[in-house]
Amino acid sequence: MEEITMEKVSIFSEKISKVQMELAKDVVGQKDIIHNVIIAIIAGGNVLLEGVPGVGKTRLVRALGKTMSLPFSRIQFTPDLMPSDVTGTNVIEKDENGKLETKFRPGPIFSNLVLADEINRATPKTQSAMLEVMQEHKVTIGKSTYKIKEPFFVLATQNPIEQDGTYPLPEAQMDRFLFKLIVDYPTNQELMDIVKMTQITMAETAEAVINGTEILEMRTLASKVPVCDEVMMFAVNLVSNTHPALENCPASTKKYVKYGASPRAAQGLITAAKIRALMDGRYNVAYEDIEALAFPILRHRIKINYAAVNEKLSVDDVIAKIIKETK
Amino acid sequence: MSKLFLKFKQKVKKARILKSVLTGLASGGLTGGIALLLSRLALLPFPPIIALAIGFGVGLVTAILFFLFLRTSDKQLAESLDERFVLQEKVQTMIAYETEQGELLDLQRQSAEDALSKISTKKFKIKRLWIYLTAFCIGVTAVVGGLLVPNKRNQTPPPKPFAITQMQIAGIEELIRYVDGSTMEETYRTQISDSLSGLLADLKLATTEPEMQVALTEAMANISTCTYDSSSSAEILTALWASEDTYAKGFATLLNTSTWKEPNWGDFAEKLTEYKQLFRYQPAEGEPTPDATELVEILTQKLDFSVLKINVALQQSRIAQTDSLYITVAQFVTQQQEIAKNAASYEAALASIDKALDDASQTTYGVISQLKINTNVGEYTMTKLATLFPVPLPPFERPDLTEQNNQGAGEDRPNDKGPSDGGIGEGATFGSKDLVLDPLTGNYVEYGTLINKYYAVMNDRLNNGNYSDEQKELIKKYFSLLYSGIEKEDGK
Repeated sequence: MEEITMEKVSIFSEKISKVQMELAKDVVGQKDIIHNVIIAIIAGGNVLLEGVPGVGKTRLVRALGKTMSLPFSRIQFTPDLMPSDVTGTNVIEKDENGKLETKFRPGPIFSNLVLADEINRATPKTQSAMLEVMQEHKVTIGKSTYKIKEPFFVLATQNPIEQDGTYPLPEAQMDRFLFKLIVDYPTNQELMDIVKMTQITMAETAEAVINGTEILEMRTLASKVPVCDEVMMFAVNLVSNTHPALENCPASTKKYVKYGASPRAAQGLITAAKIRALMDGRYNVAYEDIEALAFPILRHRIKINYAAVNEKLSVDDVIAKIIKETK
Repeated sequence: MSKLFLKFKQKVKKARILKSVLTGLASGGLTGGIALLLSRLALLPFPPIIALAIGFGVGLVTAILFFLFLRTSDKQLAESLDERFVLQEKVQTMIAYETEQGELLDLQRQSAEDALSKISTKKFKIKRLWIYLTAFCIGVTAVVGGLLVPNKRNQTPPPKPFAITQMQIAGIEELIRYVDGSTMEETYRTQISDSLSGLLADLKLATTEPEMQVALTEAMANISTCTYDSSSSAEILTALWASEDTYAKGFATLLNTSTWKEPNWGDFAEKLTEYKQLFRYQPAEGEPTPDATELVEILTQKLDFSVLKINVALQQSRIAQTDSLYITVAQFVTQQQEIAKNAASYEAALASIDKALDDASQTTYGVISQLKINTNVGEYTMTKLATLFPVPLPPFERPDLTEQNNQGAGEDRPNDKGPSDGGIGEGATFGSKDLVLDPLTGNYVEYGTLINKYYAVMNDRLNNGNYSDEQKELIKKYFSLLYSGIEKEDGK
């Protein structure tokens, strides 16, 4: 087992600060989004970014790729995009001797950081091609399975408006995203800064400050952060309390939730909470970590019912109520 | 474990003790105070000190139970510290991983200690202390309140007023007339009459019940003394019975028949016959019949032995030699002695004994009749007083010989008190003391007295009237049943 040293803890904080600084060069504001994306990347989770066009989703992911000096690929999802366009396919080629042979030509998914832009525009068939790779970090073509290099992350974006010609992601795929982050419209001051910045150059200026190996080391370090039973039980209760079928679930769940989050949510909560605690300079997970991360982790995993819609409650409102009742 | 954490733990323990003590004092004070209040108001049947002891007990038990109830584990304390001082679960995690090792865990412990060091234990105030203090004050107030209430328990209630009624005056006056008109021996009659007159005078002056009680108790004691001083039969009978000699006990049985029962000559005669039989030789089965000389010798021995035993019993009875019954019994003994000395033949001696017994029974009748009248008058007076006033009737003195009667010669026990069938006579039937109206005189008399009168009338009518044998038998059976009823009422 790799030894945890004070030095590694210091490096962790230092690297995170550097990444945040570099990203701030290209992305104005969105500090919470950046914070959570970094958590997801260290945790090895995929992120679904949702926001109206032009709020900097794609730019954030591109800047992130540069900062981390990781191979980056972008897939623009369209209705006519085929699974093989994502995963790659076998092609027949002549070798040096002029003999025909089948050769696998990897698709854009074979990268460390994949931007799945407007993922809900692809057909379910193509979306499903992402399932295996997102969860197991491997691709199966025919009888062959190809492993993807670690670290591997999918950062998908989707547009909450313009729903015509889109295919909402199925629950199974949604569950593969660790976080769903809502990218809000910038404030006037932030918008002014964006305009000023882009007048100078449109290209990202962020520099690489961290590499894949370091990310994996940080992941290992974070996994050692202690969590006391009470906090872990709180996380477990929070997730199980999203299930309206449970007898002792909170009243809000019974009233507003159609179905609840999967066990992956509880796993993700604890994993992400450990990283958040370290990023916050703490060596233990606190209730506040769980509460803060409950929103990005649960909002795409629970489905609210018509009663919530009727009362104009968002998923986040319902989550807030469940947290309150779980405490 | 962190020293800082232990400091907080110590603080929590102190708070726990303080809370338990306050709760114990509150509950004990409240319980004790209420019990004390009720006790001092005489609403509870125990003294104030017991009330305070109950309060102390309740307080002690409550304090112990509360101390156990407030037990706080390290985990709970850590949770409390994290929550109260917003330590972001640092202390809880430190406690949860205290046995595990690792650099990250060391860093975590350090961060928890740093966080704890920034908190002064003084800031760790006791939660809801005001509730405990309020409860304590209520408890103290209850005890003080209980102590301030005047103790009604120790206050003696004023004596109940008393004023003699006309009916009671008339009752005592009638009783005086009854005593004066009785044939009781004069010395005792005067004493009882004087006691009753004195009692009447005292009761007329008495204004409270205790005064009445004193006067009545004194009068009752005087009358009781006179009553039993006036009859020596009980002492003589007891002494004879205690001798455990067949002849002395037989004589006691004979006396008992005529002393403590109605002088029932039919019964007396039966007992007399039985007693006479004691002197007759009864050969055992297979034993050769002794000759005339031997029989005389045996009888003489019996007589000597009987004389000796009865004489000893008379001495032990401590009755004055001038007592009439003492003289009668002594005379009979002397006669026995004479018979024993001069016995010419067995038959002649037996005839002399029979004659002596017949003579003695005649003399004895006169003596014991007077003694019986003395006793009856005294006991009737006491019974009547007990019905007129709320005073207990003193127990009537009776020779209790039941523990010694296992060697008795006769079938009847000396203390058998019911009349036997066929007895006729005057006066009270022993045992029944219910007062009933006597239609012949218009006075209230004891039921036993009345039933004897009825019995005499019944016998007279049956002897002189024209009744068939069947009717006579039926009437006699009815009266037998009445007698057996008296015996049952008397608890036999």
